[in-house]
Amino acid sequence: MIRIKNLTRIYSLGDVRVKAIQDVTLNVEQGEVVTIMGKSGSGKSTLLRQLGLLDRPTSGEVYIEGEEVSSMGDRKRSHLRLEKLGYVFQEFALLPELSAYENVYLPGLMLSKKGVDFRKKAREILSLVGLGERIDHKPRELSGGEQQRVAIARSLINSPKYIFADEPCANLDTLSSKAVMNTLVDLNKRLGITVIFVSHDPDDKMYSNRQIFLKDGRLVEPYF
Amino acid sequence: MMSLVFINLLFAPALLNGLIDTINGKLRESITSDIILDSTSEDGYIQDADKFIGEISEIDGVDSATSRTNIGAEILYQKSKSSYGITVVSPESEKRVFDIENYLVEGEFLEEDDEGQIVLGVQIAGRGDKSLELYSSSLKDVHVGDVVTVKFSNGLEQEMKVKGIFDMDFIQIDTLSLINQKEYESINLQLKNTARQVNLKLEEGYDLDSMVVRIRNEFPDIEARSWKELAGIVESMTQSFEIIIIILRVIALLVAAITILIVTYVDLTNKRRQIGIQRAIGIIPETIILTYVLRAAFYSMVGTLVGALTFMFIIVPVEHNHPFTFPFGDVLMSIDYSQMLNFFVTLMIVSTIAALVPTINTIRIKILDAIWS
Repeated sequence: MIRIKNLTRIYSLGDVRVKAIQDVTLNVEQGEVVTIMGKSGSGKSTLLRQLGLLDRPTSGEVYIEGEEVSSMGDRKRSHLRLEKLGYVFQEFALLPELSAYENVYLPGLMLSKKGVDFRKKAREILSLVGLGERIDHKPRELSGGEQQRVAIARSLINSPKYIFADEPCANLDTLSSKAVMNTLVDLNKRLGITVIFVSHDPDDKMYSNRQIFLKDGRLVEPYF
Repeated sequence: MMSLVFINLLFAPALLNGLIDTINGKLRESITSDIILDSTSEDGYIQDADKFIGEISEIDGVDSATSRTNIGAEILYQKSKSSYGITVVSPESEKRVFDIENYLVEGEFLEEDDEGQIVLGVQIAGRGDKSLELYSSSLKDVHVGDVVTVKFSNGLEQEMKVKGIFDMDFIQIDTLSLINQKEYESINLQLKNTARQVNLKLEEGYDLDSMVVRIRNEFPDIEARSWKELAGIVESMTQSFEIIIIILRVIALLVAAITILIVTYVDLTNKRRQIGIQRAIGIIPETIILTYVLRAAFYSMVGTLVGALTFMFIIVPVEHNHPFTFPFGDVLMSIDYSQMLNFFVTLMIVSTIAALVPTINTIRIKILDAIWS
């Protein structure tokens, strides 16, 4: 379970202070698929980055499985990201010099859990997302949709309990978008992974159990 | 670049080592021998020198011994005059202890029974060679067979025929003039069978310091000193060279550090996004830092290895074929392997620190800033 309490993130741009999210409180239960929606600049991605431990809030708290993580040290947050979370970036964020397989395997290399063959697992996950035949291709040799599926596969290598996806279909065509979203929903159904994704496309509501709306950094509807 | 830096680090010390080896070698071959024995008596002479040399030669570890006496004298030839004094030697034993006879450029070395003969260093003889460092104070154009006038400090004056001229490429040696003991005794009868100093050559590998201690214990009237104690010229020159070498070394290490720093910084700037991604997927900062530091260390290692091989198998052999010429002769570079290892370790430490600084700086950037950079 994820719990956010009075979360605020303020960016300082020179003398200007931008309140990206303000006093956000919400809970996400295990196994949910939640869409964070809102207009551009509403704070969707900022909120997701707080959940994905890529950024720290100005104030407020984030709890993952009861543990307060926003004030945790960098090393612990890195471990948590590596072991329990999966994050899918809008722009894929793959390492260009590595193949699809190597990109997926890399976190596994760091995990070194006993009894887990991460090489085999990387191949299996790439097959799961429909890229079993393209594992040796470099990112530049893959389409946008394929790259995003590699990114999803990478986020799965650690068998995460939570996947955070930041507009995973923003750079994709309709067909690829559907494939990516179906992959995420399928993972939720088959593996019980909690999926929280950001979207500004109202049609993406169909993939989630619950939608959260943000406006000017604040939640704008009752949601719990 | 690292190879060049490493070669730069090795070059000056190797030259200095070669220089010191050359000077020490020539000093031992011609002036000091391994051990120098002086009398502690008031007149400064070792009496009954033959007997003393016989006794000292019996000591286990002594290869051979000879006596030398320096006397004040002026040598005149035509309008030129040289005032470096004269060294009295015992030619047979002299040849066993010293090596001057192998550096003769004209004529022959002295024999025990020679009368009225003198051997001159090239800086005294001049030989008409105006390129000599001390030509202006030499006898200008003396060759073997020429007759010079020797004015001894006791007032005696004697005509002597030049029997040989030697050139050891070392000013301190090439200003020696040698006559034999018989000649000396003929002009100074009361100093028969005496010597100012006795020089010992030790057997190969025999410990110098323990021999000095042993002689001091067995001959309390004799002052025994090793050649190292007399190598003052080398000592002062070494100190000056070492200061220069330290400066060069600091510069070379700075160049290495800046090179690694720039290379790592450029590499990190190009890979900032990748580092952000790596951190986003949970790779801990220490692991990323270690990767870059190890990479820098690897580049340094390969660079230094190439530098070391280039130095050992190209530069040194080429220099040995075309040696640098100094006032003490041709200097052959000498590799000190422990020093080389020391430089290698220093360079690795410097490279690691130089890589560490920009890496830590880059890792401190926020994950999102790194990804978006």
